Amino acid sequence: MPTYNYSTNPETLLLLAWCSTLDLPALLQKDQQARPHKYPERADLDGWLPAFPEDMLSEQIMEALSCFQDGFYDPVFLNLVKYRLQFVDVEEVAGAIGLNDLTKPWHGLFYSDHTFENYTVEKQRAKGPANETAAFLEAVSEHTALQERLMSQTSNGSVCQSACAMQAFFAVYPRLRRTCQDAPFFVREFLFMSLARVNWHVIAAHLLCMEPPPCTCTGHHQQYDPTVQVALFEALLNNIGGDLQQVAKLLPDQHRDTALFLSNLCDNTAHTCTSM
Amino acid sequence: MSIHSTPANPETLIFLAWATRAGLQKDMIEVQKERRNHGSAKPERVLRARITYSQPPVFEVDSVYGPVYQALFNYRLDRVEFDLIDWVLRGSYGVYLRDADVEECASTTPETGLLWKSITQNENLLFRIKRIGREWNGEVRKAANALRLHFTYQTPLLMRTPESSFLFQEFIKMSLEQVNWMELATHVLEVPYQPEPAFQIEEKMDDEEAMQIALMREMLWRGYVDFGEFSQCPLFAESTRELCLELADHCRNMHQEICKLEKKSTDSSSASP
Repeated sequence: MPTYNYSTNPETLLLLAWCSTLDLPALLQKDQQARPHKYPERADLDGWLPAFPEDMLSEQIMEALSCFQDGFYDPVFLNLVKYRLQFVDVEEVAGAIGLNDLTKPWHGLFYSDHTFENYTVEKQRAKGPANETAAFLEAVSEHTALQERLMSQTSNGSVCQSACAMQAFFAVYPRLRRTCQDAPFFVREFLFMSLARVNWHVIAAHLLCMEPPPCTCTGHHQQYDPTVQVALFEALLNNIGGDLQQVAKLLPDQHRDTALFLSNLCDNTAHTCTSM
Repeated sequence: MSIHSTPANPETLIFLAWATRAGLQKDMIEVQKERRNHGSAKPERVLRARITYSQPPVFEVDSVYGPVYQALFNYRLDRVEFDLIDWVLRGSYGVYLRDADVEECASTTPETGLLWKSITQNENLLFRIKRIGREWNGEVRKAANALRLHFTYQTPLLMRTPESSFLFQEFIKMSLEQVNWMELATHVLEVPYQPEPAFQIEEKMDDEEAMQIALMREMLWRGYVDFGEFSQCPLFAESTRELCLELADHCRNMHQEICKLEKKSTDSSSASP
């Protein structure tokens, strides 16, 4: 039984919970075959067991992030999830895994809302964006098309209105995308955690090339803003149309025609919305 | 710093992750204060109430499949060590992951027995499941794969809404992964069970067609609901609302057509010698 316990944050606990859903013995076996030098025979030390290999967890995490490849806003989503990963010391997670007769846990973890940031997390945070807003802007600055799309969502040059509209859009949009729905739960939770902390006024002001003015927001999401609704509707149509087209490829003839008909209808409706 | 550390099963860790996201640390501190004063509050009762009443009713909307998934969810929930959740949230204990428990049971897995019991308790559901079995003319492996796909894709759509927690999806997924579909198929087909090797990837892909049809059916229903809602949105121009209504109608009609085609093919395969 481990003798040390460390306070930790929700991000680390989410990742540890996700690890519990993986086939950890199989991953360990894979590491033992690939890197046998890490597992010397320690017959002289009774009860010695290795810690779970951190590299295997890091590989699984990178694989989980591969869901953000094709979508228009995926560069932003990926950056926001990676930002949250800065708060996780993967070695700390690996050290809290105890598999029967296979790995030894080196410590336990408990929740605290004032966690101590160890050296690894400090280093990770120093290398990455300063906060969620910076992570968002970093992704936007690297993708011109994304910047233009976001600028089209800014309303009449008003920073507050644009901020509220973007906040409302990003509160709903990830839940419409199948890749987000099917992503591992820690990826979804990290994304929502980051989106909740983005300063949308700073984003809006950046897109409008203004300094953020004093806020005039009423504090309510502009969920029913027509611009937001149209953008979400267009996103829904594109997603469903795309999904139906993918599904159609593997269907028998009668069902395929049905799926393609609906897919085209969705595309046409999306174009109609864009042109209005 | 806490003094003790203890192993925790996957269900406890997943619940703990949800509890930290839901901000339940404060609730547990309040419970502890109440216990010191009155001695009546119990962490388990409070935590169970939070997951039950803070979430939309994902199981109640479907009277046929809802109880099945609720049973699978509750089975996992009953394995959560609620006292441990309380201690970890308040910083009294540390936890580390331990292997999942293996239980001895009359069926090869408890989840298999639970699923079969839930199926037999609903005549409508039992009839549908028997129909799936008949489609494969007694071939146990094929029927097992069909059952696996069927229950995977019937997972309540409400669990994918913004208001629903990841806890529901993860617990049900965990339960479904533990079901011995071969054994379930033998119950459905009323033949003796003989242990067989697990499904290979190729076998799972054989029913890609059935999976895609199930996916499309689900998508069409979702499209009908989503487009229907948009068609009522007063902020859209009338032409857009009409387009939404047309799409919703098309989705509903296609959904009905696919259900009819599936029923027809099932009836014809069950009628053939």
